[in-house]
Amino acid sequence: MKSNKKTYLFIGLFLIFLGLSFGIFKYNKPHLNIAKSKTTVHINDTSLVEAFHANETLANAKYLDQIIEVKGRISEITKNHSSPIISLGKGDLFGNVVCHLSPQEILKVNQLEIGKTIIIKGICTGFLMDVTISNAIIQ
Amino acid sequence: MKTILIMAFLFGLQISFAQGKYFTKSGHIDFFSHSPLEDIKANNDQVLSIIDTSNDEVVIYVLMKSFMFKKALMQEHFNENYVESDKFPKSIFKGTMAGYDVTKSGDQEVTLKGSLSLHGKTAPVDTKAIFNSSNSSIRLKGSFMVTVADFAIPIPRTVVDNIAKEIKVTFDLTHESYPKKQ
Repeated sequence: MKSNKKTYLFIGLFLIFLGLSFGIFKYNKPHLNIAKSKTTVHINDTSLVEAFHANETLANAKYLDQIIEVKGRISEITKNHSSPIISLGKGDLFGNVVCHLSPQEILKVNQLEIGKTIIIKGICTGFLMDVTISNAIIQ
Repeated sequence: MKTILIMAFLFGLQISFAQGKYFTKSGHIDFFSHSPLEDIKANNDQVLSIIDTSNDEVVIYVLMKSFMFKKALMQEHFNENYVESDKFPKSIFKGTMAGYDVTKSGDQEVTLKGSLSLHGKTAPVDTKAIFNSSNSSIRLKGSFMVTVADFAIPIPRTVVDNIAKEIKVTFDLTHESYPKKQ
């Protein structure tokens, strides 16, 4: 009888420990690693922008939050705080794919130049004047 | 219909920019919620803001999915459960700015009045901001409080003490003139 009580106590404590560990793990789970994540959409810059111009609601349903690899010609390279920003497209005021890169991509960006065609992988966060790609990396 | 509206918006922008207005596509906005149980902060460096000094108009567009949190779980809950970013992907402030002289250099205190649309609801905003103008840029920075209840954001009972009733929104927007001044 005494041994049973000890077993139940042990199982109870173990379950509490498991629950707490799961809770702490979930609370502190890391952000998505873009480099290691599977690409869900491969597309070029023109097609992506055209999809949002044609029907933003439909394009949001299709591309928002997706891990996208977008191929395009570099029209602008800028910096915002420590993060580089690469625009893919014709270089007009609007209608580009604006890729906000992770800060660690800065060394790769230094080797790029306007006019070069590249592939950028990141998360599509929506459309304002341009399609926005966040947490992006250069492929 | 939506496509026509977007094209009209873009065409309108092109015309107004041709007259020399100010805009940024990489403005900064953050929000901060303080509660006894938890502090929550998120940053967004992908803000589109347009200032038209000919009629004092200010329009600020924010993508909700572009808010970055320290903790992935908070970001997930924010987008999926609270602001429902799939359903309401943008927040928009439309208003006017008063009390500035664009030819003066240095900081000037201005009044920013308008409406903020978020999560399908709209509420008025009336705040002070710091305006700083140079030859080719206008910097607008400040902060204001947002009442969560004004935007019908559902907060589950279990986390009601983790989220402040009023959230501080801070903005820092450096606009460049377009076309660029030489």
